[in-house]
Amino acid sequence: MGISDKLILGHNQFFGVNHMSSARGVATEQYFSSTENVISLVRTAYRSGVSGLMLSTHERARAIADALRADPELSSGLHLHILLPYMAKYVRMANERGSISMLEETLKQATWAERMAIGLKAGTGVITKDLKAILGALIKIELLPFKGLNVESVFLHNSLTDMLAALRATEVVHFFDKNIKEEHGACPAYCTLSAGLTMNYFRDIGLEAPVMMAPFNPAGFQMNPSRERCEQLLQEYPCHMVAMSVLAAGYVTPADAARYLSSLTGIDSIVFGASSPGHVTELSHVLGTVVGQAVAQ
Amino acid sequence: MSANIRCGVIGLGKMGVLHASLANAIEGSQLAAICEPNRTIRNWFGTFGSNIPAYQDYKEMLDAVPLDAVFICTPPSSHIEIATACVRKGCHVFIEKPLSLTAEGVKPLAELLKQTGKIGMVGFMMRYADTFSRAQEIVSQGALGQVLACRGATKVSQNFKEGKGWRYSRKESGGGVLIAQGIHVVDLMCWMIGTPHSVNLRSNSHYSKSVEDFALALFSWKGDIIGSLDSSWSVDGHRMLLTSLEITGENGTLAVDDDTVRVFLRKASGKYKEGWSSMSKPELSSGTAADIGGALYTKQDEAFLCAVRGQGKIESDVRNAWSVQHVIDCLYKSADKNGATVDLHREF
Repeated sequence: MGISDKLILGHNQFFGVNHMSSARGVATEQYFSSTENVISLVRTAYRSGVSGLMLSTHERARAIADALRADPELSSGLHLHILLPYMAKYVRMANERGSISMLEETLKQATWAERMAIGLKAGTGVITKDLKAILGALIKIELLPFKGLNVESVFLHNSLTDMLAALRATEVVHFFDKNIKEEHGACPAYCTLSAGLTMNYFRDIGLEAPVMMAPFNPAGFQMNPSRERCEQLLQEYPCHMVAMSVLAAGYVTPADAARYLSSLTGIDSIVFGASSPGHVTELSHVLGTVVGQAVAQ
Repeated sequence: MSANIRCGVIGLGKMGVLHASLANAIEGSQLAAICEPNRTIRNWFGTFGSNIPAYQDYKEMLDAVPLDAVFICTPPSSHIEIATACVRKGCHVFIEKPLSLTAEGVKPLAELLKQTGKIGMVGFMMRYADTFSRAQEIVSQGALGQVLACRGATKVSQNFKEGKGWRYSRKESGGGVLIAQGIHVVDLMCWMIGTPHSVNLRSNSHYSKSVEDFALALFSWKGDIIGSLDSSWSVDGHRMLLTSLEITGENGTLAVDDDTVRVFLRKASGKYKEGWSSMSKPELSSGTAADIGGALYTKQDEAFLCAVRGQGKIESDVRNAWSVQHVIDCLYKSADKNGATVDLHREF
């Protein structure tokens, strides 16, 4: 089980994430607060040869998923890659209520039908279940908005991947892997900002050829512990690598990014963000050459 | 000390889990025990951290497991008592910010640390953010000339109804957004400019019952330097906490936030040219062992663990955190007097 898309459109611009400028992030979020504008960009990307869309389980992802479902072209051809959970939401809730209340509230958020679907009992008691049962329920809740769409893979958020690797929580990694494959029929995948740590750990526990998403850019931005070590591990550890942060939050040019990525062996796919039709067309063309993706002109 | 620094973590909220992960991720250290009073969380951690002994009571943990260093991540009301017990057991301590509810009662811990030679670090992690540490370097080199004024802010869209838990109880947290988030800017101001000599605070508690949601503070330093801080966790449009600081001197202005440092100089100074210079996070960043909650936390914990080994220095010790806490105490005293000026007479 792997992922087929060479190019994947990222979601940061839709949800106000910009690592170079928070102010710019807010401005693009305003533009993309219109679901129509989101779908229009996704359509441009799709017609330029970008066959995958990364979507975080952000509060607004439900509206985007509904709009994709209603679009015959995108609902049939576009593959979704879900990144879960949307960490900012959970951190905010944990700050507001504490971690136990946060989980209780989250599990309560499911509609009655959803609660039935995931087998949650009414009332309290959910928190006394073992962690795996709760994780299974949380994954189900997070994935409910995407039901009926082509979900090809489910990525675990980098904070969690890296925490599991640091704590060597092997049971939880195996649970996630199995749960995504067996319960959701999708490819389990791992986002990391600690590629050195995580790839070493995955190699130690014998996780075979996982799908991973990690930063690769000529500036070495977010390539931990170092650009050299990440490049070395890419050679040594067989995995399906989705390169992210390829433009280092806008610090490097698309041409420099493409030149750098072309010099590496082992980059199988690229995820990139873009905020305008012109930008998405340019990037899909420039980055498509790296991964051998024929791009519609 | 054993080959690996053996770390304990007390309190498994989000900061405790982060430090536990980092203690295991950073080379030369390992997580050796955790303590968490909540049984459910403790049991869950059993699934996460295989074979890490877990305790309900920190004293039990200190008696049972030989530790070199302890991360104290409990609510601030218990920090001093726990840190004192850890140091008495021979451990170095890392205490999450704020150091305590007030500056009262901190000195015996500082004395104990001095007597025992143990490291006592406090979690003012913004000092390890690439942008803020570069800003401090520019200011400390005197590139701005005589500092005249500064304006700081923290903003996040977090609290739009009454929050639950210790953060929203003044008895347990010491206060609201000022002590939880604004304190980072107070620390940065103390780091870059010095401890102010008088302060004022007006605050507003709209959503929370016992702590402030909005805080507007004024600061005065010797030499007629003035400053302000605008801090709120109830503003829209900030999915992540935004921390910013602008410092104006006779030779120019520096503006720094989590993403960039921009500096305008009337005359070139050192490596900084006349006019505008701008440095972004990708340009300033360097690799770390791991990035779990942000590279700044890793760099902070690396500095602590290096200091435990007797290598390198820490940026924020208990004595410095006491000064920051004293500023916060005086700000709250001002708010209780409707914003009247409060002078900081005490020194450590």
